[in-house]
Amino acid sequence: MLTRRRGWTAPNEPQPFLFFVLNSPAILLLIGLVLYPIIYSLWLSLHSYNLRQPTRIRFIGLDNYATILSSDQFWSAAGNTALFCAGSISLTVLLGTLLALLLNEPFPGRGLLRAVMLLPWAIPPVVNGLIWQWLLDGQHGLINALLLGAGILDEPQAWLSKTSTAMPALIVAQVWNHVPFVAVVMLAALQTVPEELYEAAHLEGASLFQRFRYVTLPWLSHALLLVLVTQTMVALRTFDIIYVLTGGGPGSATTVVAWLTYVTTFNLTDFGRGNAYAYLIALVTMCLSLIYIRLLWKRGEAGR
Amino acid sequence: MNRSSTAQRVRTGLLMLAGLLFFIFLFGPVYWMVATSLMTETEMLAFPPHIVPQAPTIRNYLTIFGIGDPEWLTIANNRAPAVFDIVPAMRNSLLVATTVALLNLAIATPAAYAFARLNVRAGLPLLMTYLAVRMIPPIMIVVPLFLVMRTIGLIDTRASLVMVYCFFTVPFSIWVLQSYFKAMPGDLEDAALIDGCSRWETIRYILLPLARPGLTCVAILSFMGAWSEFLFAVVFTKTQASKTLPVVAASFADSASIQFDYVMTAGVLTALPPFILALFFQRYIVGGLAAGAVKG
Repeated sequence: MLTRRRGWTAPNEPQPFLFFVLNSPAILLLIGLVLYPIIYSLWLSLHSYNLRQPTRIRFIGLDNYATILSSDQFWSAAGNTALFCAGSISLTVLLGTLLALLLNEPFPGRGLLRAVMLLPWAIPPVVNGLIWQWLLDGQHGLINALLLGAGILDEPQAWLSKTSTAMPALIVAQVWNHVPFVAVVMLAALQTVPEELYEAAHLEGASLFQRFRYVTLPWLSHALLLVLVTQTMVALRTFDIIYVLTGGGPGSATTVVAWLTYVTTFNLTDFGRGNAYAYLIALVTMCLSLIYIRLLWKRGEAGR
Repeated sequence: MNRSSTAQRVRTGLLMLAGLLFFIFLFGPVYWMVATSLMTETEMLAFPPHIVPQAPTIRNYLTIFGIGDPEWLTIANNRAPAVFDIVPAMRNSLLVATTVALLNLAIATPAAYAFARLNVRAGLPLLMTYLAVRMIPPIMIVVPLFLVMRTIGLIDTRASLVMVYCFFTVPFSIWVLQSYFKAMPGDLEDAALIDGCSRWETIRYILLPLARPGLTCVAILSFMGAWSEFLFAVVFTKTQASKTLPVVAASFADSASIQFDYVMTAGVLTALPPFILALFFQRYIVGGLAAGAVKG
């Protein structure tokens, strides 16, 4: 410990004033672009507010929420959202973890795989949607052609406009886009597993599976949990690829809550109800964020 | 250690097979996009499809830049007039994303420095607030911001997008940078401070040069975030004055006729900057992602 003398500031002296000065641009940004809109959004959600009827804006309390929660449309969208989240998250995490495990082993071609691995991640979601729209095209799509050529299909399928296949198609596109991110995070976590643990397991005669089950998996659990939470948030807000691929259809087969929010707000210009939808999404997300923050917080304190 | 080399070879073979499957899954769609962008309309519609374009041509690209054969331009104009929105959109996207990247550095660096070096107790809750902001679904603030932008007349301007994208990216940038700064030993700066350097000099001559990889990562990630964003772009932009590439690219999706040769070309152009950044700065990006997501 340094003895603190007067006349100069010790390097570790807390400097609250400077701290807030340096943070002020960021704080201003947050107040202007986040705090204010959030409150405004809540306020709007308590109103009957349709742009097409500008004279009929009035305060209606929680009516928008009541209407939403009692509508079939919402619950069908909620079901679709749950399906989309469950499908895309489980597949993304599973494939991402497998890819990370694979990339953690030496084999010829690993460098190449590592290099191209980030490409799907770098693809903007809209382009991701367009690529899959083309791959899954009902007449000239490559997937139809390959499946026909392999004799798996008898006739081309309109994957994106059939109720039974539209949602799986959406999930595949989403998974493709996000597997690399999960793999990167899991790989980083894998590389921190101490070699001694494996050596010990090896000496004890653990099988490959046992080593994975009792050494690797527990070590990865934290990263796995984080990935699960971030992927859930991503899945809940997915909008771009639905816009491009299915537009919520056929019928309402791929109408998730985020899409319903967009349509209600900007196609039906019902800002009041649209904001109520947005708040419901935020509520679910917030619960997840609390878990996320707690996890990080705990880790930060344990690390000190 | 008398493991037979056969077992070893089988193992390597299996790993390579798994690697190949992942390679096809991850790279195949990208390849098909690029391949299609090099096809003419006739070749694109061929059955069975040409996995390798038999007569690759860059005429789709030339058409988009308006420097092709006048005949191609007429065809393009009839089939997909949106093709000619791509070049202005590219300019908009570049301007917006570059500005966002620079603003990120300007706003996030001082804030991150404050968290890493100033030892203020109130710092942790504020840091957690930044983290919490990342969890806010964009759809929640798009309506109020739309109304605000409309009131102050910023709808259909690039400035509105820059502002909104900063909100997306700055909290994450602060998060990544502060963990980066914290991981750097502060001894050198302390010594310089004691030797009479001003705080600014320690930052300018010691911290920033050493933190270059972290700063690069933050700039790249915020550039890519701004470049790819779609929701705000599609809500805020109306004309060529501000439409970004994802908006123009998505506008093709509405059309009934098959024009994937142009669409995939637009897709390649939209994906190109993030691609290049991802390939060349892979190390920085991976480090940053891992720092942001795992280390906390």
